Amino acid sequence: MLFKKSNTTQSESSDGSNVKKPSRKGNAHYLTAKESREIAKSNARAMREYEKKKRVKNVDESVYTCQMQDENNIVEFDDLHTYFFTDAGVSKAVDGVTFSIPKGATVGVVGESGCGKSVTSLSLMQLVQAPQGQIVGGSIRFNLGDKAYDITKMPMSEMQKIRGKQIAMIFQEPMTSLNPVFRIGYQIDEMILLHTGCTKEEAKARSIEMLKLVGIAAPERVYRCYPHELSGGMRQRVMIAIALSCNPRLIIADEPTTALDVTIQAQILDLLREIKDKIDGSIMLITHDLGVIAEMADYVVVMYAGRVIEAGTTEEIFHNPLHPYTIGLQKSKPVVKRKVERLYNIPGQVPNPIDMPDYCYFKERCDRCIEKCNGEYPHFIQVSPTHRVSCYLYEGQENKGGNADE
Amino acid sequence: MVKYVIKRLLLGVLILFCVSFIIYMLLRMMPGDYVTRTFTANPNSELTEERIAQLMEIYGLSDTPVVGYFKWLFGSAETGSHGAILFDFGTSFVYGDEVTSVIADHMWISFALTLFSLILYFPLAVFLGIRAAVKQYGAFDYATTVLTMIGISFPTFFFSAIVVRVFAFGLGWFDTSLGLQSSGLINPTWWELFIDQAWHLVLPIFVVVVLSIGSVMRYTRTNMLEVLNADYIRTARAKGLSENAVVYKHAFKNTMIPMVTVLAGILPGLFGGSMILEDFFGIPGIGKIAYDAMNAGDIPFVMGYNVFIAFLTVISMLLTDIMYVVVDPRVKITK
Repeated sequence: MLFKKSNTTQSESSDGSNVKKPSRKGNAHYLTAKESREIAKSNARAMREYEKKKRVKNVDESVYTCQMQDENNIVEFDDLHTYFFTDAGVSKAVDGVTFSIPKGATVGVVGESGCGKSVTSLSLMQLVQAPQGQIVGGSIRFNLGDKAYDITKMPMSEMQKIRGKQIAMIFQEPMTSLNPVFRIGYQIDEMILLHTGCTKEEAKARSIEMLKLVGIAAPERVYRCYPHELSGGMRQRVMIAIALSCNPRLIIADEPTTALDVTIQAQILDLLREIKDKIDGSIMLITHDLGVIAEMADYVVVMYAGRVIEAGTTEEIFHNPLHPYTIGLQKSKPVVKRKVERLYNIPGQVPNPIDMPDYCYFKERCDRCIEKCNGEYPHFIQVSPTHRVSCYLYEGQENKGGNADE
Repeated sequence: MVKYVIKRLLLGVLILFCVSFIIYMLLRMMPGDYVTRTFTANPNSELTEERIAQLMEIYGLSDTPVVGYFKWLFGSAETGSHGAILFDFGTSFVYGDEVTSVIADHMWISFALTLFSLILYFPLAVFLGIRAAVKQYGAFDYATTVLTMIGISFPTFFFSAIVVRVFAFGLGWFDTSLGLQSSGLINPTWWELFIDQAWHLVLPIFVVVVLSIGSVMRYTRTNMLEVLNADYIRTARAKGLSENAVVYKHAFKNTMIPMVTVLAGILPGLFGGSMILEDFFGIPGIGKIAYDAMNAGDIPFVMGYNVFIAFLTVISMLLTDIMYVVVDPRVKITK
């Protein structure tokens, strides 16, 4: 464990989850055999329960139909909890995340590695690695236009109709995300045939059109290629072509440019932006590159250790960052024309999301701590209709005017 | 590609020379030769030293091992053999017939036995492996793992004994005598004979299936688990494909790549028979024939048999490499 642990590690969670965790004595930094056994036992119990819930057949539509809080949102994450039942204990990868993605907007999700960005997006696709990973609480409301579904309650068969057709995902590793034994053409056709019910010839025409759209020069040739015959940038374009082939309403781009070199990065981002306008969809852009966010996003959500710590419009986050972590992130980014000896870095590491104490997770690394920080985890403070931050420093600065985002 | 195959075949010839040389040396080093075992082992034998030396001469055992090997390879005027290099493997000491025709006579029963077992256990093992991987750490996974592990761990003779005890002696479903034919059949029609022989093969096939299923199943399971964690499987799920399409289309084709090597590796065993199993059930297959020949010190037959197996192994290795090209688009043979 990377931080000191108090004896009260459990049962503070207000998430209504029924996860029981063995309490530990003292400041044990390792697990005894007995604790390990207890963890394994409680994990097995919890996993079995959640898996059983998932296997229920013929779920009535009314169970997962819900009401959007704001009809202009395409997705609303509401107090989402996604836990991983690991051998070291329950890892709260996503622990009460609330934010929404408006229609036609690009929402950037930033944070360090392991802060729960990807798990949030995978929860939205119901693709969290089961059985260890489970959505244990909260809801994800997805707006289908005439109705809204709660994705956390949807059965797999229904979810398969949404995946790819309504929500498409672009992954961060283009080199390994395409199946090596199928031709590119087949992999795009497959998606189109699955969701549109057109003929094979129509699917092929559409695939080639998509390849052209993502800027591939010789679409007919690439259509017949195997993935290993293409470069990383080309493969990412193919991934984007696959994702866009059924005109999804929401595109999740999980670090789409991380594995690519800088010139290709710019091209891919331009492409995404262009296509978003063309198909009038929304983008959930996950990245740890603030430059990408500044360029692409309308709204920014900053995550830290499984929680949203600050959210607002791009303007607000970049010009008026409030949370010490966001400020640190900004300072650690190189700026052209400013000379510094050494780039700022936030001291310490992201805490392990197992057995989090109930105070601000950033406390140990924060240089602006106040007395109150030892208390319970800070609640959100709405500083403007769109800007909220979870930090005690801004208590009393609430803007009670609007509650647009909450 | 053609160049590659030719190169590999030439290399195979070299390998066969080396293999045959080593086997010949080993055979000659074995304590006791054919003459000693057959004629002088009998305490009442009244053979003179002279007669023994004469017999050794006849069977070609008086030469030094190296000379003996080259006589086997290139033939010699005394025996009238053309040598193994012209596919003349000589006459078997025990069976008194051309080695090649003895092999050809007994190969097919072994082939039938192994082929039927393969047809039964390979698809079953692959299917079980996939199901176990999909339900990793579930009850099905544990059950198949335990059962197949038991199968792997049984020695052939032990499991055969259990099976015979239970199904033949205990329940009386099968004939308890050795061999492929019931003793009670008088003037059977070909159909009755066929049914009778098939009935005699049920238990051996069952033993092979149970003993072989484990390794293929474990291998499939391991590969499948690796593939199921791959990024492209997540992509396939993100496309909205059903779980069956993900597993049996996207994952399966990738799992088959390493499985091809396993399948090609089975080829020598397909024709080579199984010594212990055939001996136990008294099946006159090539495995039993080779086992008896080995016991008797029948050098021409054992040499012929082992070169045959080595040849099949070389061919199956080449087939494996070619199959890789067929199933994996990333592999290209260039040299």
